[in-house]
Amino acid sequence: MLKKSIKWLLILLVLVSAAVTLYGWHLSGRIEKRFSARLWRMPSTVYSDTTLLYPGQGFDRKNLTEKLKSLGYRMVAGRPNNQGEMRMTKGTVEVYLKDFKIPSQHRSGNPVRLRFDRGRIKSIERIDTGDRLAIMELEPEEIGQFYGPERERRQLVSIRQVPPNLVRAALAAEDSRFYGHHGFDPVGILRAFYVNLRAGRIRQGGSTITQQLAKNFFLTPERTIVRKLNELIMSVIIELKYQKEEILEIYLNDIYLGQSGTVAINGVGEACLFYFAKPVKDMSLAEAATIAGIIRAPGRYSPYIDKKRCRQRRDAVLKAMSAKNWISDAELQSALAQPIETVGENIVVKKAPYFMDYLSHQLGSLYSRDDLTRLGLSIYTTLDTRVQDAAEKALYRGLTRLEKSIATLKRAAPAQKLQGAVIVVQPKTGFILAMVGGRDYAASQYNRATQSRRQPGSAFKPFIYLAALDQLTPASRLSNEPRTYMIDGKPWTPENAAQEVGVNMSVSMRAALAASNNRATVDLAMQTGLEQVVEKTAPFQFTTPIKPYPSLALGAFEVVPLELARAYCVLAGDGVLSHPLSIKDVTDDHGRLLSQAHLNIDRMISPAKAYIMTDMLKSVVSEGTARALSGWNLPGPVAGKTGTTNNFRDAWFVGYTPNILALVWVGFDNGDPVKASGAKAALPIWAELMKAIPQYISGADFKMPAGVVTRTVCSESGLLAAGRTCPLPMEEIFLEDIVPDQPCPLHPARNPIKDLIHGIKDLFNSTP
Amino acid sequence: MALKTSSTAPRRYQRFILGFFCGLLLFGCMPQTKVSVYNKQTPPAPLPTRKPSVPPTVKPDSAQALAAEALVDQGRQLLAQGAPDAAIRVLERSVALDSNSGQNYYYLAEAWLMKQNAHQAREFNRLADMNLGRDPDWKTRIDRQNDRINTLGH
Repeated sequence: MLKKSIKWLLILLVLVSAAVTLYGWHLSGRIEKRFSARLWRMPSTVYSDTTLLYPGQGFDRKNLTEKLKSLGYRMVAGRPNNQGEMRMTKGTVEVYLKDFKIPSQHRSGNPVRLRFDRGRIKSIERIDTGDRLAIMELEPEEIGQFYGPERERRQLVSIRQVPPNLVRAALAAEDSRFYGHHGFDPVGILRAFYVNLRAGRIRQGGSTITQQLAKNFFLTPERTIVRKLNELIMSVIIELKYQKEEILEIYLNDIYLGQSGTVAINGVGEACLFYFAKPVKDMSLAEAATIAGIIRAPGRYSPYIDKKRCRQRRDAVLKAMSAKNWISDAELQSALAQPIETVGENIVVKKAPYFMDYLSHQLGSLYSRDDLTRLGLSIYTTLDTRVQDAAEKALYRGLTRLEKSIATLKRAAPAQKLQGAVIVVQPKTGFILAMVGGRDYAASQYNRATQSRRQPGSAFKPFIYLAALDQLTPASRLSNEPRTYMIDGKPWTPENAAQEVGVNMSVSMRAALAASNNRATVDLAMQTGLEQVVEKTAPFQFTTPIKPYPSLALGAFEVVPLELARAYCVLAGDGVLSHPLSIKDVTDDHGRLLSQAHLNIDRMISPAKAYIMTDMLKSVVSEGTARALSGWNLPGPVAGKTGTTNNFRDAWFVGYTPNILALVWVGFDNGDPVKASGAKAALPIWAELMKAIPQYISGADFKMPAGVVTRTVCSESGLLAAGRTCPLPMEEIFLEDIVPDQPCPLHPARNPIKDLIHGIKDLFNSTP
Repeated sequence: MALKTSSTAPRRYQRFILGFFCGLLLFGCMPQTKVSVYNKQTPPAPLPTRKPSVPPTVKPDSAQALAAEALVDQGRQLLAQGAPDAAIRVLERSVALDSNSGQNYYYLAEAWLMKQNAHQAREFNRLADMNLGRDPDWKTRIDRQNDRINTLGH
């Protein structure tokens, strides 16, 4: 009987051992897969473009110091003597530039002084040599990293970079017998049990660093026996498979160390920057103990939450280190005497999140999502962080203002709120300087700048007018009479948006575009030929279908906002399409260039046609639907077009100067009416954005190219006014091969005798 | 009194002569009422002076142009060092600052020539011609560059 029992017991033992071995083998595979990925994973980092500064540029001191702060420069009281330091004095900013190296460019750091005068850079000079500089460049700014699905911030550090005091502090705080156990620590468990029993509450945990790692990596947070058992088995396996140093490195890079807004602070590398604005290698003993103290409960011991409690915890860690003889008494006393001095909490926000998504999509053809999170690439982009900030703020403020002025636009649910999109491009290079795909990335990741398809309304009209420029001129007369067109057998009568006083039955092409006249524009499209209009818009490469219906003239076909911005770039860029560019260079983790993209251009229309369109679009701003822009006092001329769709579903404004172009769209995702025109809803956002980036607004006018001529014409007939008695003559520009050659037929020729008599009469009448 | 009468007559005569000649002068350049195109209700605004296309300025006259010129110099040096990609990076920035200089386009065409890309070289050469074509020296250089592009293209 006994023999039989022993036999069964042995069989059971073998079966259990086999099961445990099999389970262990299964877990081992999982651990290896996850650990090897973690050990070799290096997130790719995305950088903005460099920032160019030059004398005469509109850039005030505040703007510059903010930019420098975001690049990690520190304000000092005395003269900056080390790289990364700056100071402000009356009318100047002195900065010791950091070294930087990017593909095709290397700069050694040097001290410079920038003088300012009335919001402009007056001069730039080297402090050490006194040399005047014509230009100066600031290094690219980190925008974000591709790490994990949420693109967390992570400053990965090698265990060799971590100072011994930080390692010891972490061990003293969490697992002082780390080097003595094999995954779990029975002595530690018993000690924790005893401490907790005496205290009558949980005061100490018995988990080793390896157990914490197993828990964080593989297991769910609930507290069950099975989970604890799994944790133990895994810890042992981890210890069997990996060196202590490897385990410690992964642990230090992964532990949760606080929260900044919606962004989690993970790993000591990130925490050192977040709390002390220092790299991990520069941690003092007191700072290392502070970081180590936070590990147990960041919500409780963070210096940003409770400095006093944080200090108590730090001191406890220091004393634990001293008790282990890991620091001397002198070191202990010195560290205990130091206050907790943090850098001050800067809420970490995800920078340019919609742009990052767009970038990820653009990079998709070259690198997989997994590659981006493990290859440690450096991705240099065209983004300007100052423009991006200005665009985000302008959109947010603009939408809030609109909701205040029209109360029915307010929606409680974040997903249903009034939305908007902003795209800022340099028209002559195609560089995307900023992209905002919505008002709140946390609420909606749908990028309305690149993914949405919306009717452009009147914002499409310039392309109808452009198509007509082979036959008509800005002075050509268009019909403003009500007219009914048949579309698919149904009558359609376009109406003008604004109520007109003393309706003119005909208007000039320039006036029609300025006033966004619907009847005249449809008349223009019909005169040009709808097929011809579709053919002429084809080179602009709208990916959405555009069909030869009369409503095409009023922007009834949907477009992608980025594609509309690209099309306007042709008008702003002398008829040349500079293809939109977001990524300039990609390098590997050793700085070797992997790919490079340059300004890429294609001729689309003649510079003369582009200039005439721009000049007509200047009239939209000076006298037409966008004349409200004059109240914003922007320096220099602006060309632009408003757009409003049926029932006010979409509000647009696309405007540009010779150096910068921005598109603004406002609307609801579900097509609810915005109840405001493009001029009211989108234009103020555009204007606020431009006011915030004076560095891009030079005030220069558009340059007239060869092939454009000026003539004086009658404003009523559009024909030559020379030698006629036209009461309202005006100067107009024309393509040199399409110039009116007929005199105005509405007004008789001038009579020299009558003119003389009138002249003399006028002279006498004007004599006092 | 008589003295007063006699002195008034020549004044009227002088005034008439003066008025006559002024009238003739004014007739020659009789101001016609010039108004804004779009809104007739608004008071006549001065018309923008539309200057004929002027030859490109070789000397920079604004802060942006000066900075752009400094970048062109850098780009030229990089080309001389045989670094077309680095030169393009710098010249792109120059274009963003001042696309009217034309010199940046010329050297961009040169960089693309170095990179054996005839299409891009031709596009930039055309833009250089648009901006610098009125300057005889530059015109010669641009035409020669165009010949080299055509040779490469063939």
